[in-house]
Amino acid sequence: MNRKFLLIIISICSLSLLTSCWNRKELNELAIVVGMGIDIEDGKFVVTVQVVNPGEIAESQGGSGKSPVVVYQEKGNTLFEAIRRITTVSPRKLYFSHLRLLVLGEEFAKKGIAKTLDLLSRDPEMRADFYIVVAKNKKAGDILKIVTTMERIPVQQVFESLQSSEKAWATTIQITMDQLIYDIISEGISAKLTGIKLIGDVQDGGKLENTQQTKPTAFLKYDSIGVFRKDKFIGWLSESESKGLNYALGNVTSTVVTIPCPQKGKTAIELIHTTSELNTEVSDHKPKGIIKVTTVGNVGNVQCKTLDLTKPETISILERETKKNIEHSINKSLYAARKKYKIDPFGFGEALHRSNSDYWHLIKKDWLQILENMPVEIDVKVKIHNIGKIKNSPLNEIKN
Amino acid sequence: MLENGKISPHQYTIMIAFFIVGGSILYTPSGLVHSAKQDAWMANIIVVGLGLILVSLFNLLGSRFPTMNLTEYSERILGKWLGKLLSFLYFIYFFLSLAVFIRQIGDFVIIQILPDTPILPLHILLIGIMIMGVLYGIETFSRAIEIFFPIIFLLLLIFIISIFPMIEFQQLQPILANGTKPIISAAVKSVGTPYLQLVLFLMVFPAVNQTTKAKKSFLLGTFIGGTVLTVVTLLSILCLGTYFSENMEFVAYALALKINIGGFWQRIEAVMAFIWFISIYIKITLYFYGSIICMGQILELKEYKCLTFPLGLITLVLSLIINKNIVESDKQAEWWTSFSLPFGLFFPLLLLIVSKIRKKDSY
Repeated sequence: MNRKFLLIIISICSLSLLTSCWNRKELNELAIVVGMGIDIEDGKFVVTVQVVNPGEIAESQGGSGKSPVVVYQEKGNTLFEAIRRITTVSPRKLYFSHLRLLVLGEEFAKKGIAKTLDLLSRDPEMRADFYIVVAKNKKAGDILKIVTTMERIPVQQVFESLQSSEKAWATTIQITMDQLIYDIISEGISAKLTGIKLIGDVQDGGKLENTQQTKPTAFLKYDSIGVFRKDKFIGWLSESESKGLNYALGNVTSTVVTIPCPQKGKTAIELIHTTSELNTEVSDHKPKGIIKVTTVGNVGNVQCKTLDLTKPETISILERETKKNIEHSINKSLYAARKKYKIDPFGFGEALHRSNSDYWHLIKKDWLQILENMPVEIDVKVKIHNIGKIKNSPLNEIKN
Repeated sequence: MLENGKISPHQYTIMIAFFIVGGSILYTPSGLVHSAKQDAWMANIIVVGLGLILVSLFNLLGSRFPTMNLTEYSERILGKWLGKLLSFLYFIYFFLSLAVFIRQIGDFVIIQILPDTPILPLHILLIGIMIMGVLYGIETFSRAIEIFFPIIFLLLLIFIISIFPMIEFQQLQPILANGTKPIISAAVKSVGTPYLQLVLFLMVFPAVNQTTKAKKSFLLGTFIGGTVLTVVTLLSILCLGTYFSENMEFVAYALALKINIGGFWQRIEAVMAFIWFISIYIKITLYFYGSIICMGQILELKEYKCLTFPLGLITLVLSLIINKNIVESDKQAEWWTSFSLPFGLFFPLLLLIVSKIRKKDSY
């Protein structure tokens, strides 16, 4: 009995003492990094990190009016060196497991981003679930300095805005680390990343006063998609080209398509459910690409008098116009990618590898030249189901 | 007879399944994917088939001497001294494998979970519970495994279901792009881990209380373990693609890292680590048990428990010096099959043939 009692006491003591926290770091010793930016300056990496200031984030305490995040910046010959050098300015060691966003400066992206991929996938603290974007015409560091209003943590706002814009507008693309690595190393697909733009001035955007206005003087905005050749950034697609690319890649679920009315004015169709398929086939030793898009939409907004939504024919006209619009943007993106930049962000090469792998190995070397003149069949199916709460637009009733 | 404990065929099945899953769940995909690319899962099916053939061989040998273990009948078949020599070779094989597997756990924990912790305390803890397991004897140990089984099974099921939303079927294409050759060569190369290692179970075989059922459960256990490995390989190709399946140090763990359902069911990689810890603990304890029985038999001891502490200490040192670094241990996995080949295939075959010629069996 006594021995049992002693054993229990010993076990309880060991449980609390031997917790095997060899190099434990309590929450108050960590600097939680949510955003990281990489630039290059005179051949050296410049790393900018956005770190959460926990005291200001806690909602219940109200905060003391200090900035909810802190931004640190350091230089180094390697990425790792630059990150560790940040400890000379930061009171705590940086902790990367909660990284949400990686911003690459446009200048840096032009020189090639491959060097950064290694650390970001080798380090066990890094999880591969953060998004990667390119700072359009700016340094990545500037993007991370901007404070935002809706979310206390700017990166959180940017992160959520990327998710919502891909879901509802479809000109942006969510790329995570492993997708990017795959795109870069694979021969049959080129990498692409969304661009982020700073509107206004960095000096204004970094101040807390920026968030105290209803319309901030400096804010961040997603722009269209930027494309890469291997790991080097080569240019931006336009908004409609980005959408076309997303249609082909199957990234579009919902978006708005604006089409002309039969006479004057415009109508907006809301696509609510879109699926797409990208395939290739080979006949007579010639490859052919096939892009199939199937979409269901609603009439979202009528801005013309002549549209009679009580007739079924009108719906077929709208369907035809929507189809034309989608085909047009896919064609535009095909043109931009193949003729202008001479790359394959669609992954036709990968599709060819999957469907005709023998043929792919034969032509792999000259793939981009072959792609340039490869016929691509675009097959869009549009179905418009609903027209909303009202039938004909009130515009129709206005007599003039 | 060193071991008087008896285990049921059911426990034997679970033990074997754990043994197969344990050593390989984190590693198999990368080796197979290296040569077979997206067809690695087919290679895995072939490996399971080869494994079952091997197990039938072990069964043939084991059931000739239903009450004796490998070392006992090798002395009977080959004569005392030749038999002892063979037993000693087996002892070295088991003991080295033991150190390698302990090092694998240490490496994994240090790379993925506790990067700044020295490897020594981890090994001490591990070897401590391993010695405990053997001291309690095979009977208690297999009952413990039986308790773990439903938990691990459930966790594995949760893990597999959680991965489903990330599956992309096009990752499997092109199917058979490079023909069947790389698949078969990949399969043959990876039969070493873990199927050749199953020879260890000839040490446990006599402890099973029904010999005829033991044969069946040996096959069943191998099949279950092999199926789990095939599913994991398939999932890693489907979700991570070939590049990551090949290049990740711990593929299945990387797979668990990716799980994210609805933004809240995420970061459950510790589940994967737990499955692996439990199953590899069972694996190393069985290896330790095997090497101790081997040694006890060679020295003709009456009782094997006195060997646990000295051999445990030697294991500790051996596990620390067996590899200089992780790259070396990755390389080791490549030649491990050739190293296992005599022990897992040639010697059992030799014993079987000689026993047939010399008409020796246990009666």
